[in-house]
Amino acid sequence: MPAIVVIAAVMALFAMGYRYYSRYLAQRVYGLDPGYVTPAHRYRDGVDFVPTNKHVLFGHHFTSIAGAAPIVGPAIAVFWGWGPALAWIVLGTIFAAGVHDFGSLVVSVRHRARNIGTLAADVISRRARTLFLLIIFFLLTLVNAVFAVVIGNLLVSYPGAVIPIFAQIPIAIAIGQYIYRTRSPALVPSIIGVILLYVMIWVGHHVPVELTGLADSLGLAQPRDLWVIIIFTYTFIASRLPVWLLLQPRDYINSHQLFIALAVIFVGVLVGMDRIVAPLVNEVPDGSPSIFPFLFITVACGAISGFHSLVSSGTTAKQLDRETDARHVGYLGAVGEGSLALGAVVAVSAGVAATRAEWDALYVDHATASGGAVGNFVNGIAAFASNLGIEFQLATVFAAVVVVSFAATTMDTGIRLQRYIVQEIAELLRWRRLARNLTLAGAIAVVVPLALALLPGGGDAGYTFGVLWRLFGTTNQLTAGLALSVIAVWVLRRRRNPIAVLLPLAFLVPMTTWALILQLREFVEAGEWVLAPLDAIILVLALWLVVEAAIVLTRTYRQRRDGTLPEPDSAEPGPEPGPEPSPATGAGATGALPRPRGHAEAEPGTPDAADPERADPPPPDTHT
Amino acid sequence: MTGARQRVLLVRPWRGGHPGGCCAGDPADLLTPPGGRATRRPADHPAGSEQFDFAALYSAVRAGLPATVAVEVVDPRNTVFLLPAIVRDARRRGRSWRTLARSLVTGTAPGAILVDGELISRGEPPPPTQALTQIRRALSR
Repeated sequence: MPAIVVIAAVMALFAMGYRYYSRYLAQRVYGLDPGYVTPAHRYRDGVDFVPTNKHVLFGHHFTSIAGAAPIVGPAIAVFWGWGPALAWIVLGTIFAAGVHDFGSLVVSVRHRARNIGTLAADVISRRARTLFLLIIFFLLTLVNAVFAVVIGNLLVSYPGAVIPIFAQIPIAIAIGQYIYRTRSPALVPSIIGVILLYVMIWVGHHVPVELTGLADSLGLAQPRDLWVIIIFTYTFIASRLPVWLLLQPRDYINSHQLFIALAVIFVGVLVGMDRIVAPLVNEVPDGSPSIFPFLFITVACGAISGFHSLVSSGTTAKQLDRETDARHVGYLGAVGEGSLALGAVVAVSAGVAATRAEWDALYVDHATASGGAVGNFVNGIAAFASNLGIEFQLATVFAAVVVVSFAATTMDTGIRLQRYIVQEIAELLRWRRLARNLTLAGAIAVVVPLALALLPGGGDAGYTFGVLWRLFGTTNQLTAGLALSVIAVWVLRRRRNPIAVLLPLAFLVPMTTWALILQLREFVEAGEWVLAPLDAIILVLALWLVVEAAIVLTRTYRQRRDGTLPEPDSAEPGPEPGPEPSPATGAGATGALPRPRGHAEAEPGTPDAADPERADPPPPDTHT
Repeated sequence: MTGARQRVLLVRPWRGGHPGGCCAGDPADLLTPPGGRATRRPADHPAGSEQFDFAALYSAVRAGLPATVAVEVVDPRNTVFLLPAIVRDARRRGRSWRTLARSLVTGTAPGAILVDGELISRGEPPPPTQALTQIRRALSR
């Protein structure tokens, strides 16, 4: 089947999902109110809380959620056939991710733009916040371990990518220094950065770097392990640098790369008219992980990702101009991520091989499929790029650099986030010394995932990676389950029908639990005494989540039946006031600002209680 | 945005928070204590205080312009919105290609102010009252 037909069909389904299902969610489930005064208006301080046009906010939101994860999962999941992988991506995006991302944003907006962890405490119970922190700790540990292995595998498989990847660090630092010190526009320097990166791709292609000899002399089992150690050493240092110095410019370069990669996929397919050679449903060998439940934890990002609730309930919620904009930002963001996953499926089912026999050799068993998934994606993208006239070998380095860049940026942020989580947990446990020692907390944030990434098993086929990826998927789905529980309770309290939220929750939690139980048995039988306890802990967290959600949902149903439901939205004090008035203007950053036309009456004393005659214009609407 | 509307784009200084790329949010958002506000403070970032100066500028501009003028705060990273918006605004107002090119090249500078696709300030933003005057002048041209 021509890949372009599949792409067109999926895009049409996404469009219908956005047009009809998101409208149903907006009107019937979340009951969006265009007159609701959002936190962006209520606490407007010009820093965190700024009413922002929905198109502006979509750009921010999408670049915050798109990354390497929606590439890796689908590239493995095609092992069961492109049909099931794509079906889960489409159904997951429309009925799970859209509900989850959109809902997290709405609930956060209705609770003073609080993050999902705090919302769990508000809506479910105080214990739920502890549960959230623990889930996030394991999620970040697995994210960092998984992506270190991904990068290590790619640098071994594509030694031409080594020079551009490591050249990107000084390039990003130079750009960061330049634009920060001189306050110059970022666009041209970052485009120059991308061009320099592509020059380095050409250099790397001609000067590949391999560490096999060095890894052998150090007594490491495989060269990948040496790369993993180097990567974690780098991220430990990077996590201590100010974000503007490396992380922001690097992320800026990556945002260009994201759109270049998407363009290469879709334009390359259009030009080359590649055909899908992978089977619609693959006859997998005996002993392979079964499609139920493993498909649904293999593809997390791209179908539903708990991590998105962090972004939705964070910066995005603080900037939503109108509650009704949540549909455009939250749901459409999920569709964007689904489109990236679609590109990954097309790359590994059409681009990577010219014949069915070639494809079968790449996906002969699950270990080969998971170990080679990212490489298959790289080769698929390279094939699409070669349709556009780029030499294939050079194109493979380009694609490897794209994936490694995404994964490395996720690790940069992930290690930093993990350090915060370690400090937060230490604070809860009253371990003051750890809570206040950045170096020690940072070391823990690095050593735990490093130990996991270096676990022996499977050799070059990547048994360890396959297992870590599945554990990452289960933990990510748990995070999504927690967010969906919060959303479901909130919808119930608003006396609306929560079925659209309960449906993905009721599907996701059993699948996750089932996968964890199967994996636990597998680990115990194989004598994996590191992975088995880890799996058991995540399983306990999953069961804890089920219990918490069941308790609160049952209680809410009962209250609803008895007519004793509390008010649905938080009535606690909002954020602290903003900064002092600026001496330059006499106007504080939270000074009185006009209320947007059509908004509900604000609380006295809030910025929205300002003169209604001086109203903000209604948000512009150019969306077609 | 309708064709008749005018628009002011204010490009933020670089933020102290995380860019949040690749499925990772801002730790300040992740760990806001119950009832608290984001942990981001001027001290968190060498340019943190600029955010608060910029907030004062935004407040003055928003309060000083009529309802028919849209005022948008955009992160300099958000080129996926910023560049098409500059082109759209400039085309609508019939700006010259030279003006458009200048706006595109320099419009992503932190602290830049654009009025209907025309760059009127970049680098250190002017004091709010002066900025408001410049914006009003550009709007009336």
